[in-house]
Amino acid sequence: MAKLSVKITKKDDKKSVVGTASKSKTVVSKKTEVVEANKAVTKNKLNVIVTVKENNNPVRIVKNVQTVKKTDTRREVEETVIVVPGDLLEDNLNVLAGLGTYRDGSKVYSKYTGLLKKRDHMITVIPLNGVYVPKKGDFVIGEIKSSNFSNWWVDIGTAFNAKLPVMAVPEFIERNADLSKFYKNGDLVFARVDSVTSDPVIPLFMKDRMCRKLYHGRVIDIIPTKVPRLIGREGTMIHLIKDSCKSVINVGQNGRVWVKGGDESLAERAIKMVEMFAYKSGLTDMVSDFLESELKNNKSKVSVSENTKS
Amino acid sequence: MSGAKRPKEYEKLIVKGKRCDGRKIDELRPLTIKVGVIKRANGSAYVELGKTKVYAAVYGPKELHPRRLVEDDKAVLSVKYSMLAFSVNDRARPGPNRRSTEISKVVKHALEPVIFLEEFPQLNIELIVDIIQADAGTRTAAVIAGSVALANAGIPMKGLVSACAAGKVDGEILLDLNAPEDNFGDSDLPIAMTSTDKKITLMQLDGVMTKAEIQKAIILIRKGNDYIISKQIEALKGVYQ
Repeated sequence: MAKLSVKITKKDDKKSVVGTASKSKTVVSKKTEVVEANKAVTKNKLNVIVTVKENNNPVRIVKNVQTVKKTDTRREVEETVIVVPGDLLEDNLNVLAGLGTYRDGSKVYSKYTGLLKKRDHMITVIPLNGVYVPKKGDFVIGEIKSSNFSNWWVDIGTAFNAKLPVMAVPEFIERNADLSKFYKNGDLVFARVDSVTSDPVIPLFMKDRMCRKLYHGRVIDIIPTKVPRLIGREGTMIHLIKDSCKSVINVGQNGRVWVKGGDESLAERAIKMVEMFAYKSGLTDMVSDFLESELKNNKSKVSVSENTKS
Repeated sequence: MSGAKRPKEYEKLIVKGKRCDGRKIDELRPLTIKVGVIKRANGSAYVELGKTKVYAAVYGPKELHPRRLVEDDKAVLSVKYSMLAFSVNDRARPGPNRRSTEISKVVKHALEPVIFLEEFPQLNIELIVDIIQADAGTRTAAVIAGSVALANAGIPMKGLVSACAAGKVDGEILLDLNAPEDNFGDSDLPIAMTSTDKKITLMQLDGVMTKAEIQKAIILIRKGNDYIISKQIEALKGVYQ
């Protein structure tokens, strides 16, 4: 056990870094047990901090792995393959036909025009277009359309209307209270889907830590099937946009994105870019480059305008 | 059909193995397919098959009106085929008529078998097909455009559907008839097929053909459909290049 491989992802930001650390033989004995592994980037140096247990005493090893170059921070990207309905994906009984595919005998076909993903034995196709179909527990952004004595009616962009019962909001509402005092027509809410049944009405609820009324800001509509791409793996993409634009962003699974504060228009352009190029591989890097160049331009513009003022 | 009196230029429709527009007997008209041409639709396609020009748009899955038509366990595909007023030489009277009602129904039945309708219970998938220019083979063009528009709209499907006609003109079996051949020929046989298992989802026959002639026509149509499907796939993927 002379070598120890550590795979680390930086938690707090955009770029994930993968490094490999080798334990020096002097420190590591056979009884070594890894307790914790972290990495930190200081002055373009990637340090891997590994805490190991040796003879029951925790020992900290700090290992400088490599100088971080820009290319090193880029995540490995899979080449995207676009398939259309009826494309033969696999002729094998040992593979699992996942979402977006169907099986006919030993053959697995695509159901959608979308991106092909093969992981282990599972084949899935992520559609590139489509309408939002509500699922239980989804966060959605809705607009209050009307209210009666016990419900608000909410438009969440689905075929059927959603209702938000008075009982399902965090506020205490007295009997016979005027409901428009709490949520009036045209208000935006960040709510959750309570249940989906054969009933054409979709009940929502807001008794959740994340749910709230959305004030000000702007709403951007994107194609609902591209929401996972906008969020990115472990939220990389949306965090990148949030951090660069310094905006508050809420993403509803129904394809509505609410942006407030910071550089709203830049955030909107970045979101539209994700929607437009959702089928491309290496999209996070593309968006990061775009945001960087835009921010640089903005800065130079600001300094020019300041100069002219003085 | 064969009884129609031919004008002078169409007295002989096949001269030395060539047709009146210069094609061979087993050759399709030039086919172009564009995808995503209508911005406000969920999916759309434009098909040009020779002089026949067709737009197809898909809306939904959405709520179905009137509510009495709702199916509890699956979606309803509604197809609206219409020839626009300027699509033929003398003005076509707008609005539904016997012919457009028939073709709407036929296109619907041609496309229904490949759609996973059970994934959207109580909903409606609306397909609107408008003929911009008619020059024979509008129903086959409608099927081609419709299936591409549905695939572009993200509707779950088993495969694509392609369609192509063959007919008997002056004793020869021709692939993909154009307007003079359709008008002055003996018979017209449009057939739609699925892309995966090549099953027939639409077959109509106008005129008279023997069993052997139909078998010969189907062989021609299969060949034509293989080419059309490759064009459909190319167009669908071309949007994302």
